[in-house]
Amino acid sequence: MAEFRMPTLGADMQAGTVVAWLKKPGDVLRRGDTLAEVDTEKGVIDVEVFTAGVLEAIVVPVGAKVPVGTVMATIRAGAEPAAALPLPPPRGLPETGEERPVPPAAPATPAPATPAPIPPAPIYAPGLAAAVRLKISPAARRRARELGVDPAAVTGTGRGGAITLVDVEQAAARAAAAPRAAAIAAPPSVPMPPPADRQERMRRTIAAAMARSKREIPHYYLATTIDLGRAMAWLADRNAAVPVAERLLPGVLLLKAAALAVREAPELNAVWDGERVVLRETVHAGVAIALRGGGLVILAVHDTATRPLAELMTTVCELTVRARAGRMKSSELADSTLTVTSLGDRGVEAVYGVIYPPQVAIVGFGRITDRPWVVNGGLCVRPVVTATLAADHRVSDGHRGGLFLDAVDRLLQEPEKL
Amino acid sequence: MATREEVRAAAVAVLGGIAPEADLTALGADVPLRRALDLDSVDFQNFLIGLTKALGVEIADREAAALTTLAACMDRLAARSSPR
Repeated sequence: MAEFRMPTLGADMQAGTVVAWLKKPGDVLRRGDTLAEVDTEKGVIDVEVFTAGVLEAIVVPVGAKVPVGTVMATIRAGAEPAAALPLPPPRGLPETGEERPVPPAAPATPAPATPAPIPPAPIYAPGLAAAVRLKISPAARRRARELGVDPAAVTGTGRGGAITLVDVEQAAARAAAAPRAAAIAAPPSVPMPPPADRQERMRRTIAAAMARSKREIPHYYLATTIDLGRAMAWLADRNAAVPVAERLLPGVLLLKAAALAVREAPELNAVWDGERVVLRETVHAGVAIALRGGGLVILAVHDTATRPLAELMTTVCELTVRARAGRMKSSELADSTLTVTSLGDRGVEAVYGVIYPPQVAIVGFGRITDRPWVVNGGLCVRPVVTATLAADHRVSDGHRGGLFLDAVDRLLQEPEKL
Repeated sequence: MATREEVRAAAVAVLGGIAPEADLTALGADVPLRRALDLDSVDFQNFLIGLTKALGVEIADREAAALTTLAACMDRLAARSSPR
């Protein structure tokens, strides 16, 4: 028996409202099926399921707003017979870099202060397990005292389910947000919030995520200027020979080069779980997409390092359209492992990013521009781009970051191999 | 074969899908599209793809960069009967 929980669609998400269930109890589910539509500050998200099986029960009704991690439905996996509900599986990130399905930050209990529309049955309360023997670091315990958080009510996401500093702070933030969440929890008959309200909520959640990033992550910044002469010439040749729909933008070359360069510094493709780094084996580059009217979303381009350029281009075009239209999938919002931002497209020469937690690095590309450049002792004009890296100093050092940017440069000198 | 007005209508329809919040009825023929509608390179690529589909024409890569305004689209794409 598996539990289908309100997913965390990025570090900035606290809760979501069920807009629709697309399956009913008894329906067969395949991996990747959209099971529910959930309204968040980023739009209405198609929430996919990663357990194949049969939908057993819907726990959270349409219209209810519930915190991240709340059990929304139960799924009978594969040929498993219908049975009494077992205790929930142990929480926490896997010991090694397992890819999915991990709603990464195992959420705190819908705290008693949060009047969730459907109170979870006691059997789901992770606090029970925690109370048996509380694993919590001294720093986290101290912080819990400061913030007035009961550690027994916090779900640990650290090693072996230990409660980390971040878990405590998130629990405190959630408790603080609870009255507001309760106030805007919509009963089924209440219409969806208007766009203006969504923008305001998005601004608030971006503020929370970015403030957390700057507060907790010791960023270091590197920049290098890369000669794109060969890449742009190769691109022009290639694009001249194909119809519009098959053409590539330079940004896709940059995206793939960044994903491939991770080979040289794997620790940049990872998440920080509050105590340690958890490497991700596959690169799902998150592209930052600015939304019209303000705000942005970071959407995963799955398997960035291994898919052909043409496919990545199609994906980026589609994601952009859907992001602006507010139609995104949960896997796109939740899976990215390293953010790539190309603000240069909007004219700036360089962008020094703020890391999107729990990620540990963000790569930035500025505007591609013609510059005087020295080649073999002679002066010429070349298209160049400023590539930057902002990375988490808890996880990597400038030396490793430098190797990464150097690899990006080298990869872009052989565009035909991308 | 599209007339100038058909090209204009197609371009406005495609732009409406890319920048739904913009008031396109007020968009002057000589206004630079990318700046006026805040289009990034992906938006512009989607614009080109939409235009080729709507009009049944192909747009060469070196010509694409010249399609900066509605007037330019009309000048270059109207009365073009076949791809390329």
